[in-house]
Amino acid sequence: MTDAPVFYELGARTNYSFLQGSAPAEIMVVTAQKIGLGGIGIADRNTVAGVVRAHAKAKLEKYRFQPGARLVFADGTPDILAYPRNRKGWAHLCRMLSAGNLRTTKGSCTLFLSDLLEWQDELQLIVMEDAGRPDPEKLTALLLKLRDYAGKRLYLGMTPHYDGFDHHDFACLATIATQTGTRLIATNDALYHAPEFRPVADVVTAIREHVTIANAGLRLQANAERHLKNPKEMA
Amino acid sequence: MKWGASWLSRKRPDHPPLVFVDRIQNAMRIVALDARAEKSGLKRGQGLAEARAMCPDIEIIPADPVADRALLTSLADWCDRYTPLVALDGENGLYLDITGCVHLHGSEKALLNDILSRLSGLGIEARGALASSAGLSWAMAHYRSGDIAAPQEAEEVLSPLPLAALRLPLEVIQTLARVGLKTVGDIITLPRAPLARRFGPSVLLRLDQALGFEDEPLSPRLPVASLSVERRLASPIQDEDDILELTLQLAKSLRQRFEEREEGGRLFELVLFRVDGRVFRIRAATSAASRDPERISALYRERLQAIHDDLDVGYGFEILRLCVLKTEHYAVVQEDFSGASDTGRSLSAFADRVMARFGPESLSTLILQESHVPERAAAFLPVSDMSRLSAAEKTGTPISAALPSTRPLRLFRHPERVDAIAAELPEGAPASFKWRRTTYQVARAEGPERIAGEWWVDGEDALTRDYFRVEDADGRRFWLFRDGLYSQAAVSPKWFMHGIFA
Repeated sequence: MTDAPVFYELGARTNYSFLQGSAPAEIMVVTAQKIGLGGIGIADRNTVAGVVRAHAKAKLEKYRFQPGARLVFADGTPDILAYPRNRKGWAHLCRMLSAGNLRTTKGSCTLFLSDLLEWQDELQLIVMEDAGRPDPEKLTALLLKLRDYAGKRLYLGMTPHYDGFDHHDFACLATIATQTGTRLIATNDALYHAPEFRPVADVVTAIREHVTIANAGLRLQANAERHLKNPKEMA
Repeated sequence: MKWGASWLSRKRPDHPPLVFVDRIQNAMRIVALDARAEKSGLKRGQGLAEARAMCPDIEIIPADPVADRALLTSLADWCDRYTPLVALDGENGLYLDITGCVHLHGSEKALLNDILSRLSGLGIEARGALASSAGLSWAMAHYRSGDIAAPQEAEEVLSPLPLAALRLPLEVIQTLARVGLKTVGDIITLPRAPLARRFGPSVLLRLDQALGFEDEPLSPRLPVASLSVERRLASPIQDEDDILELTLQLAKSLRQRFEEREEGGRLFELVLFRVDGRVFRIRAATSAASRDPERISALYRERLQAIHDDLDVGYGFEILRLCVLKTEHYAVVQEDFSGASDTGRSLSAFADRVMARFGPESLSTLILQESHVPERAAAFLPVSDMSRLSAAEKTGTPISAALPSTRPLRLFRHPERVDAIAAELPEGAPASFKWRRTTYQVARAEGPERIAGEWWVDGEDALTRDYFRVEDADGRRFWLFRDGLYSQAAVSPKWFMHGIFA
């Protein structure tokens, strides 16, 4: 495995992304290490709560771990993964999430793009494409706007969906990246650690949507690809 | 009522004493008998051998409880002309709740006389009475037939009657008789507590029910229609067109009532009372709430044609009633000036007429089901359920928007095996494949679209499919899939053809 490319999974969500991710933070870390990932970044939906457990586990296992958060916006902006570069970045991330939390009731977090623009200093940003077909014009506009602030700290995430359009999507994203001068980064946007865990993810989805599994239909994931993958598969 | 008595009307004045027998506890016993047999000293419950010895010339007919029941139900149907609330009582009784129906017949006396005289005209020896409670009317029907009792007269009427008038079990009556209590009057005056203690609660319950202190709800045999209109005819009609014309009239008079309630009917029932007492019930359903008289009558035109042979007109029908069994909110739609017909509405009108003629199962439509597995993404649904579906759809997300990907124009019901040659590992399309004895060279391929089995249907180890859109050298496009991933299956996964594009 020494000649395998080094890969860091940065889009992993844990069960702290309530009713979206389905595997505990510790298991994510342990699995990532076992399958030979170079490191793992935990980015939960609008929270850093999962980071603590993952960090503790990673410290114990002496594993490379990157804390972060997945910023989900209320104004239609695609999700953005934010990873602090240093202590100051971490403070910015936490301040931004606090601002979002204070804006609404407990348990939810309302963020707008303006919040990110205010607190983006010292954060690494990975723009995740929208679910479904990416809208090139919108994405380009967003990237250009963010580039003015973040510059080299801006990346564009690329995730295989296995919906039959991956080649097309990747080509499209690559074009956008070239046009806007952003760098591409591969991630699997993992919701769980292993493909066997898909039933749990489906049940979690069903609970989130308030339907039974049999009635959940297209709200479920079509396949079991949203797990942590080893570097070979990702390459 | 003794069914045997109906023989009286068949002009057999000199018939021998008649008994009906049935096997009770392994012995043939008399279950019903006519007046002549009763006169010669025979009793219900008597053994057949004993009865033969007493009266050798009796005519014996085996009892047929099913036929008795059928007669009683058809009588109940017939009684529908007086009130929709008809309940069966045991083997040979009917309760009619005539609350609010009396004024249609003049007076209570006139109503009761009408029922009894018509029944006797049908050849049925019936007893009846009219009172304020079910218990009291039962007692009077059995012991003072033809009478009417006002609520305040209950005690006075009941007192002289034997205890059997209270519908008590036989053992209780015997126990009461043993202590000298024979008539209802005997127990009305007694202190209640000791009575209940000695003879059980049923005595007081039945007494209270007869006196009207205790409510006794009747359970109607048929669901009571929420709306109904009827037309009584002086001379019976036989012609189908006349029936339809009258149905139209009835539907027109329903319209006003629908409008008041802002409703339309989903299920209609046309009740035809034939002169000789037979009742026909013809149901017709619509797929959307409707109140248009023309449409209702058009439905019945189809229904009548469909059941043409089963509808025995006989001497004609004297009462027609149109009931609405199921109603639904009716959205009033403003029509535009162009006068163009609303296609949605005309489609449902067409569907209703076809279903009225050929049955509700005759039409079905394809609907989208939410499923990632292609063959489960569509299902047949009877058109009659469409309105339920569209209501459900309104609340959910539009399915078409959520559909994941392009699907072929033609999807095979069963995927067909193909021999794929030189498929790219681990997740590529084949370079060529053989399908239906022809080899196709793959020019272009798109994919994979990975669709995992539905574990809650297929089980945990269902195979994951990788679908590819494939174009061959001549521009034909196919939808291939590989059943199972290379990493998943122990043997090499098989390839299938699942559909063709254009």
